[in-house]
Amino acid sequence: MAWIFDSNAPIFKQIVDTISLKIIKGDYKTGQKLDSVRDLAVEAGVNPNTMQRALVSVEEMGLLETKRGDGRYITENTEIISKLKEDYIRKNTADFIKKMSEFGFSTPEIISFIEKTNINL
Amino acid sequence: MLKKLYKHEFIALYRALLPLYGVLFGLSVVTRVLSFFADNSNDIISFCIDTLTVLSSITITGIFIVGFVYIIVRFYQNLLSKQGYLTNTLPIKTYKHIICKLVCGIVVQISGVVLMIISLIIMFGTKAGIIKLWNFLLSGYNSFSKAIGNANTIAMLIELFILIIISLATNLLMYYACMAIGQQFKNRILASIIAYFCIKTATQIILIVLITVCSFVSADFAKIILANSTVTTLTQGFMLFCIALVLIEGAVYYFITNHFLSKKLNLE
Amino acid sequence: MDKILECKSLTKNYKGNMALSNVNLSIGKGKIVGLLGPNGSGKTTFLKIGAGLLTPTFGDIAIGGNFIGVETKKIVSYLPDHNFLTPSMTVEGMVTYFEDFYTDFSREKAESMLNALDIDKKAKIKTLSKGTQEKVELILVMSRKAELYLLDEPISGVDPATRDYILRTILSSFDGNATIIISTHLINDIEQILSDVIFINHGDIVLCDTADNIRSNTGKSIDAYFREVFRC
Repeated sequence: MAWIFDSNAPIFKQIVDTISLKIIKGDYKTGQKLDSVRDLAVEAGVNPNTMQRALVSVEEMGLLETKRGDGRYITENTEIISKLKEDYIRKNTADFIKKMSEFGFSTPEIISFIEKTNINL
Repeated sequence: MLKKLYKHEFIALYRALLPLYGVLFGLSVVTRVLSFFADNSNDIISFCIDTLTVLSSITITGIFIVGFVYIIVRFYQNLLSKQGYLTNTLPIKTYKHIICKLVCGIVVQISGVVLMIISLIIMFGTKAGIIKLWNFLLSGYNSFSKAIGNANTIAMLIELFILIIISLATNLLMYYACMAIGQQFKNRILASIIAYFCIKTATQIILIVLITVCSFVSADFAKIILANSTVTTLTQGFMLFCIALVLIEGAVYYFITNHFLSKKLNLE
Repeated sequence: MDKILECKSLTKNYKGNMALSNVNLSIGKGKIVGLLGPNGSGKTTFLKIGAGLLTPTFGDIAIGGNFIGVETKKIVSYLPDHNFLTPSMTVEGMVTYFEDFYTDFSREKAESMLNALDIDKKAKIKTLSKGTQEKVELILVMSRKAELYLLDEPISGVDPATRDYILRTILSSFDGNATIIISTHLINDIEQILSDVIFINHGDIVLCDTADNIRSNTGKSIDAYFREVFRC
């Protein structure tokens, strides 16, 4: 099954985001070897050349390394991954708080809701 | 790659015709075998033999007609119908396709004749009969030789054979040309038939024109020619003239077919 | 030479109908191009001209630097929008046929795809269902290592699962240097794999751009934008 993309927005960026998120989340383990461009493209259901460009972009972010003649590997640099994780939660939290405040909730109210919420993780 | 083209063409033609050939062959054999038990008193066997003989004759005619029709149909199907979408995208020039189909068509027609002869021999050949036939052919050969003034009879026979082959080719090419012209138009079959009549009419007109021109040749000129030639050269000349005519006609059809199939292809 | 297909003022006029009108295109290598337009817009005509099955009324077209002819047919692999195989031949026979005439055809690739789909190689084409026949045709066309693939409505007549298979096959056979032009009206299913998009209507090119450009410029999917442009 192909990766699901929102066709209303450029696919290239969505591929970059999907891969980065997979790395940050740990779906791809650090030091793991990535599938070939062709295989990833088929798995994602996208044009291999677009996938190639996306991988280059992810590599520029520091999340991937190309080992010459051997393909791409997830970085072992845990610092970068932690930093990006932090960026991710920061942005999402900020968005969440902003959105809830549009409903009239104050920040302390929001925080107390978070503490009271029991999500089964 | 050309070899493969011929291979596929022959396979396609013979795959369809071999059953018919097989039937004819079988009929001939059965007729012959039965005739061993022939006995004028036994009505049933005589009846069977007569029926089989008739069936064989029908089959022989059938082979020619069916064979010819199939060659035409195959040309249409393979180049101008759905299969044409594959055939015309092969990296092979159009003229090679045409020649391949032409050559295979001629071979198929000749093999039909050969089969007919074999069947006849199977059905009716007796030692005495074959010897009679051979003597008849031999005497025919001798009379023919004398008639053409003891010229190179072999050469004449070869030329006759060439004429027959070229006529077969030209005939096929005419149908190919009609189809090539017809596929241009919306109503292909109708257009092909119209093209057929146009071509037939045109050839008739040209023939009449040629004859008229020849009849205007002055009597003196004719006398000069007659005086300076022997029967041999006359017959040779006439034969070569016929070959040339048919060849030219065939060439015209060939160029028409090639032009329409390569420059004006219009597959639906 | 980094353009695989170039055409200038390409025009095709037949049966009194202007199928293609003054088309100017320049398509690079390594692209998957969607040729999108309503029925009768000229998509099939364009592909047939590229394949060498129709001659233009006017204008030029060159593929791989050559005019349409034997040289282009060697590097172009065309999938028509209807069945074209010989009904009396077997699947195996058609594989041999392709192998005989196309030097870039890979028997191993074709056979492995046929096996993966459980298609009986000894079956005669006429006994196959329409969907299976289309799969066989696609396999034969994609088993060639062509420089330009012209696929006319490859996913239109088949069920969604087969559609997925066909798109996966197209992607996995895709070698980064070749170009694939796919004509279809089922844009939704296919837009994810497209790198470039051409909109065509009444024989005119309405739009020619990369897929992502269209998405960022319009904020819409190709499918949505198509509906807007071609609204009835």
